[in-house]
Amino acid sequence: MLLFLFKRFAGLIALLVVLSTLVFFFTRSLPGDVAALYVGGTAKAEEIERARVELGLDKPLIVQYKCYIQKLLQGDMGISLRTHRPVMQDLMEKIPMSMELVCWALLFAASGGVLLGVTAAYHQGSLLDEVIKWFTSAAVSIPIFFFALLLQLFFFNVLGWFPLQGRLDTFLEFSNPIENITGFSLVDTIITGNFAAFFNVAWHMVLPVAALTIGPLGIIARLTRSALLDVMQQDYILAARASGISEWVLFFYYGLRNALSPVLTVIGLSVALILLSTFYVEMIFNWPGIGYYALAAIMSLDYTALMGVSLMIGTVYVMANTLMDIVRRIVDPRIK
Amino acid sequence: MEKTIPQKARQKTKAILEVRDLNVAFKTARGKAKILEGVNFELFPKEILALVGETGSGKSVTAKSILNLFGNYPGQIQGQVWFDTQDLLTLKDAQLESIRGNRISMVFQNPQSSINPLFTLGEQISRLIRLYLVPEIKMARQENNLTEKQAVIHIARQKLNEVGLTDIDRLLKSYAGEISGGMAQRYRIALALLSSPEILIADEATSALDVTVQAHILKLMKALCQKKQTAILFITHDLGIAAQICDRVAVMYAGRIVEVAKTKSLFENPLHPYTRGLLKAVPKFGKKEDLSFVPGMIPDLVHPPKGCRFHTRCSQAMTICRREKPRRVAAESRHDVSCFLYELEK
Repeated sequence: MLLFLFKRFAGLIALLVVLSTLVFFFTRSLPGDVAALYVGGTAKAEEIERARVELGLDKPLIVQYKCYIQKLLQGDMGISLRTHRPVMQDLMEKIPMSMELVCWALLFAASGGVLLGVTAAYHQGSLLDEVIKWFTSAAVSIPIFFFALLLQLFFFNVLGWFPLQGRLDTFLEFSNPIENITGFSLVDTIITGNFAAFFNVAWHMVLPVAALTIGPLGIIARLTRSALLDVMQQDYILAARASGISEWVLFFYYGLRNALSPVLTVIGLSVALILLSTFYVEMIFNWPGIGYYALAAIMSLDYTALMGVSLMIGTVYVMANTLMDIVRRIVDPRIK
Repeated sequence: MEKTIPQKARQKTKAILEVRDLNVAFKTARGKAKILEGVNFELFPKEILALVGETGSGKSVTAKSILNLFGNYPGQIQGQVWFDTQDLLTLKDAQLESIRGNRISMVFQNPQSSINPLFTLGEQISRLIRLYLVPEIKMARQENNLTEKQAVIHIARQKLNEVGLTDIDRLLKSYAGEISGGMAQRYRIALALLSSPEILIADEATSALDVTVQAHILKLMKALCQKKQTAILFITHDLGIAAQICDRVAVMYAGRIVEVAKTKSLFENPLHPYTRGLLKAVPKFGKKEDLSFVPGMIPDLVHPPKGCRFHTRCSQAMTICRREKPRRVAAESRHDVSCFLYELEK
C-alpha cells in the first residue's frame, strides 16, 4: 500500500511537470502580445516595452520557461493579466466555490445514480426498468449547457421557483456578507451563524448543481445496472444460490458488493466530467468559481491565469483518481 | 403420457428424487427453445446416477431445474420434481432455500469462478456453517469451551480437512484467485457436503480439472458420499468417468433421456442407436483405426425434429420415428430405452 501511494505520488509529480511544460508552450504559442494585454488597451508604446521588461518577456522563451518553473516550485504562478492579482490567490479563492458545486453534484450523481441503477436491475425487464432506461439515456445524451438553459427557462422564467443566476442576492451581499474562512460558502455561513445567507446560497445552488448532476447521474445509473446484472450472471452467484443463500442476500449483499468496484471507477471518472462541466455551468449561472474564472481568462487571453487553472484542474483530477484507486484497493482484494 | 403421478405409485418406487415429465423452454431471439422435453428419471438413495450426453443435450438445464436455479431468467419449467413428498417445482423461494445446499447440494464445473472473488474462503464457509450447522456449533462450544467465532472456525477446519485440504489456516485467509483448481473444487465439495445432504448434484464437477486431479476428486467425492449416505446425480460428457464411478447411467439426447440402465448393462449391451454411436466414438487403446462418430449435429431446439428427436441422425430411422415420439419401454430388466426399435418388438 505504501509503495502504491509512493508510486501514485511520483506519478502525480511527473504529470505536473509534463502538464506545466505543455501548458507553458501552448499558451505561449497563442497569438496576442502579453505585455500589451497587461498594461491595457490605451497604453503607449514605451509603457508596453517597460511592462515587457518588467514581466521578463524580452528574454528568450527557454529562459522564461526556466523562470516560470522556478517560481512555480515556490508556489508562485505569476500575476494575472486580467485581475492584476497573483494567480495563486485568485485560485485559492475560486476553487472552493467550484468545489462546493462539484462536491454536491458528485454526491447527488453517485447516490442517485446507484439508487436508480440498483432499482432498474432489481426490476429488470419491468416497466420501471424501461422508464429508468429512458430517463438515463436522456440524461447522458442531453448537452449540459442546453440542460442548464432549460432549467433556467423552466424554474426561473416559467415557475419562478429558483433564481436565474449568481451566488447570493445583492441586498444580502450588503446586509449579510459571507465571511471567507474555508472558502466554502455553505460552511462559512454556518460557522458564522449567517443563516440568511446560508439559505440564500443553498437556494442559488440548486439549479447549477442540478445541471452538473444530470450527466454523471445517467452514466453512473447505467453502469450500476449493467454491472449488477453482469455480476448476477456469474458462476459464484449461481453457486451461492445453489447453496441456499436467499435471493435478497444474493442481490443486495453479494451483487452490490461485487459490482462496487466498476461503479467506484466510474464515479471517479465523473469527477473529471463534472469539473469540465463547471466551465459552462458557471458561465450560464454566473457562479464565481474556477470555471467562470477560466473562461474569463480564455476570453481575455490571460496566459498566467490559464496556466494556473490548467495545473490546478490537472492536480484535482489526478488526486480524485488516486483517491478512487485507494478505495478500490480496499474493496477489491484482486487488485494487487 | 400421464400428467400427475398418483401418490401411491410414487411411494412404491422408494426413489429419493423423481423427475417426472420435465419440460423446460427458454425464450430466445429466434423463438421458444424447447430445451427439455419430457425428461423422466429417478434417483435412489445412496446410488450414483450418471447423466451423460453431448454439450447442449440439456444435462445442466436438468440439474438446474431440480433446484429451480434460473433466477429471473425468462424460462418456463413444467413437470414435477418429487423430493421427499414435495414437488420442488411448486415450492416458494423461501421453502426452496431451505432445501438448496442443505438437503440437495450442487457442485459446478468451474470451481474457481464458483467462489466469490471478494470474500476469503474462511468468510464463505463460515457463512454456510452458521446457516446449516447450528447444533454442531453449540456442541463445539460446549465441548471445547470456545467462543462462537472460534467454534465456527473449528468446524470449518474439520470440514476442510475432511476433503483432504492442508495448510488450512492460510487457506481460510485466501481468496478464490489464490488457490488451484483442484483445491477450489475440494473446497466447493466441502461446502456442498457441509450439512450431509441427501443428494449431491455434480454438474461436470471434474471436467475443468487435470486428469490426475480429476481422479483424486472423483475418489474423494465417491468416498465422502458413501460415508454420508448421499446419492449423487453425476452429470458428465465423459463416458469413461461414468463407467468408472456410477451405478446407473442415463443417456440424454436433445432434451430427452433416451436410455437408462445399470452401468454394466449399458456399456456391454447398449440398445439405443445414439448410445451405440457414442460408445463407438470412445477411442480404444491399441487400436489404430479412424475414430467413429455420430454423424450430424445436435438439432436446433427452437425447431426440433418431429417425432423422435434423434431420427435426423439415426441410421435405423423408420417412418414412425419421423411422426411419433417413442415412449420409454423396459427392454430388459432395469434397462429402459426410448426407441421404436424396441417399442414395436413388444
